[in-house]
Amino acid sequence: MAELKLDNVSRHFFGVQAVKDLTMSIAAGRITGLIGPNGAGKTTVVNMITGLLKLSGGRILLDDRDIGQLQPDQIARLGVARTFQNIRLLKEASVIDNIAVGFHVSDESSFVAQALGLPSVRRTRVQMNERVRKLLAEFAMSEYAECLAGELSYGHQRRVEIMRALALEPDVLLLDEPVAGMNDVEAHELGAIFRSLADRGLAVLVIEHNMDLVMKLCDEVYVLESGELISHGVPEQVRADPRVIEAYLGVAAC
Amino acid sequence: MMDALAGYQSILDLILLNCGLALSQYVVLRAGVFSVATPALASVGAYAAGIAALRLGVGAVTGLLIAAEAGTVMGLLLSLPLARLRGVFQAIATVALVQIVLSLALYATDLTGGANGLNGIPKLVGTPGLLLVIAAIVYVLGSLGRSRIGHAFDAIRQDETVAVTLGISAVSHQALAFALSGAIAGLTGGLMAYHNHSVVPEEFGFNMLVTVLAYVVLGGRRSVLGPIAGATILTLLPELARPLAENRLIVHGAILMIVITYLPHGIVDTFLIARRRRMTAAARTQDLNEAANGRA
Amino acid sequence: MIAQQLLNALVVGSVYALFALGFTLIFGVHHILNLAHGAVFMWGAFVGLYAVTLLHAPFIVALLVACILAGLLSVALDWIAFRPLRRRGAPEFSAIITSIGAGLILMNIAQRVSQTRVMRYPFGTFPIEVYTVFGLRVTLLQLVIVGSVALIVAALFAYIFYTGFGRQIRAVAINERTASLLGVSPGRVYFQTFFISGALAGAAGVLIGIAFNSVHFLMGEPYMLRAFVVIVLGGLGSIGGAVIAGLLLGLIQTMTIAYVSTDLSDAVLFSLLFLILLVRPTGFFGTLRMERRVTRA
Repeated sequence: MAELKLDNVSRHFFGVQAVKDLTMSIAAGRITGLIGPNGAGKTTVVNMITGLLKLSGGRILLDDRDIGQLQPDQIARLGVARTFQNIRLLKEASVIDNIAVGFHVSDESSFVAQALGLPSVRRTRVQMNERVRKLLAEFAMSEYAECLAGELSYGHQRRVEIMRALALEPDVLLLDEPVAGMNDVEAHELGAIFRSLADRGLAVLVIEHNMDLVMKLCDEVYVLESGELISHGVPEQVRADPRVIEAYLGVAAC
Repeated sequence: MMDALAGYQSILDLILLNCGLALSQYVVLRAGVFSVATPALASVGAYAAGIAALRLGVGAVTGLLIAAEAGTVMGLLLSLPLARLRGVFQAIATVALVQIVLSLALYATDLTGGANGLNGIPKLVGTPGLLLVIAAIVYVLGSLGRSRIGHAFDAIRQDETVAVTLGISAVSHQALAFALSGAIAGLTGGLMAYHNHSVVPEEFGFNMLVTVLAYVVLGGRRSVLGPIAGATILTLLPELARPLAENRLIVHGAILMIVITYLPHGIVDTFLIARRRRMTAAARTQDLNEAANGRA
Repeated sequence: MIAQQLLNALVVGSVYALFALGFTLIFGVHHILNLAHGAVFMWGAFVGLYAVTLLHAPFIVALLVACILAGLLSVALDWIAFRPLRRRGAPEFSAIITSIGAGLILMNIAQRVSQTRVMRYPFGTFPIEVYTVFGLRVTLLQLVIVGSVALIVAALFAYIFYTGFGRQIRAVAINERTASLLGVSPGRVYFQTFFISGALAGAAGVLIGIAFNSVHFLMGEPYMLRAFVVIVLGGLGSIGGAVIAGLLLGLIQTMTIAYVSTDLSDAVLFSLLFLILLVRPTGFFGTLRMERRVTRA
């Protein structure tokens, strides 16, 4: 499947260097972690990968294809999906409608068919809804199908966002603090789902502050501080790295 | 008796024409584009149709096709510069456009008849024609609205960043919205030319801009029934009572203020949302029951 | 000849600047596009006229009264139209719509009050004196207009940049929530900005009313459209920008009318606006509030 590579990527805003010379790769079939103190530039990295921010320097390669100049929607169609740090769902729409937006790219009805209201359009819609329900079942949220997104608990809203990203049928999944606000049980349930996604071949990036989860889940970890990469390796290596400990791991003696 | 009927018919005609304008405004607002260019687009269509009939002697269908095409082309041209602007700036740019078109219409006397406009256009379209065209527009917009394009418009309008990261091209959808808006406005302008015998430049100015906006604000910008309801109500209102007709500005103004504050989705959409809530509450109870039974 | 035209441009431009200042202040500080500004301007002109014709007040008093009442009208506008929207967390689209509505209502009331007539100042309201300066014909009125605008702009600048109140306004312009957490009362700031904005519009209304000796309920509309050009050209929320852009606009308009064609002056103006929006929508000068998201990052 796909591999995402960042090659010496930089970004500055009016003299503030948000990200500096970052080189990292997110491989298929693995869960890669990106950690660092708040303000380290993690979300900026995701914004650059997904095309919402331009690069000040360096390249971003999806399977050796330079995607640094592409528009966000083009990048998404190439199979790169993401979730947001502060949940961005359509609160006034139902869970089904929220997730269905992600299936938009796979709807191939022609303009004429849509304009005339041909039966094929109705059929496509029915198929979409089927796929949404399947996703809901996978995430054990079938009974919430018709609920308004705004009425769900925080944890459930995060799940809906993840399902929406998965609706894109992506090769690369970028998760920005996916278990924030969840208790350990919920977090580990989701972690298991991420694991199965990676096992299916997706390249998964997890930005998180929940150290327990990161250490247990990630195959490799990158540590960012003030926009620079200060450590990289398997979780045990990173945890023992004095620079990382100094940056913020603190008293995690386990 | 015949006079009364004729009176009703002319109101119906007016409602239909205003629906056309409202639908043109509705399309762009639904896609999250804050464009108020409809009067300019309708003006172009009206002049195109009028000139075609007067100078080239074309029939109704050809003339209307020309008008629709003119509107579409202009809408598409407009989408290019406006793709880079958002919100307030799109509004300002399109207000400027309405002024520019108005000025040009007044200035190019040879082509457009200047301040006098075009007169003596044959009446090529009557009530049946209006009904047919508007009904067709409503049908097309309705089915588009229920399909992928409509949902894309909604996504872009509600959160463009999210829509874009889900693979929806904001640029091409907004261009489409402009094209549709232009086509509908141009067509309606052509209908106005052929129905009213004349094209007067001042008709397509700031007054129309505000009125058309009021139609969509009142009715709603998601369901296709919104602009229709808004146009119908605001067209009928002055007919109901003399004071309403004389104080048109206050009525429009008050409606804009009250609706946008207390019913920001417009009357049709507010009603539909409430109905949806009742339905989903029922469906949710059912789902929960089934889940409970399944677990039991 | 050209120097005379330049003088005209200066006078016209000053008034545009004055009108645009109030408009850009509200937009820069609160990000509200107050489309009822033209109606407030018009009511300022009305009040000024009625003060002279009904109360037989001297011109300077009429001007002051008009400023104060226009300021209060503007505050009332905020209370009735914009505050309910703030309470409900409404998007900026709503504020624009409601301001259009408020403007319409104000215009309609003016239409009824004036019975759709064009009203004029009685002869002798303002002394007609003409001076010859460097071969140019300058009237006292023109001097007063340019002088007042210069004074007002200077006072505004001083207020915003050199007083405590001004600092509060600037704080709110940058971030209202943070400012309120730091002890600034947004309510008081709204009162001040709207009052000042209204007073400026009122002053502009009276000056224009007497300059063209014409006061009618639709007089605000052409100015609103020109205000768009000014704020886009000068940068939203920029006081200096509004002044410079206003003068520039006066220049462009006067030159177009004098040397090209009166009919086309509108088209030229708005084509210019269009062009600027394409090239540099945030205008050419700094703003009270930093960058405003207009296009993709």
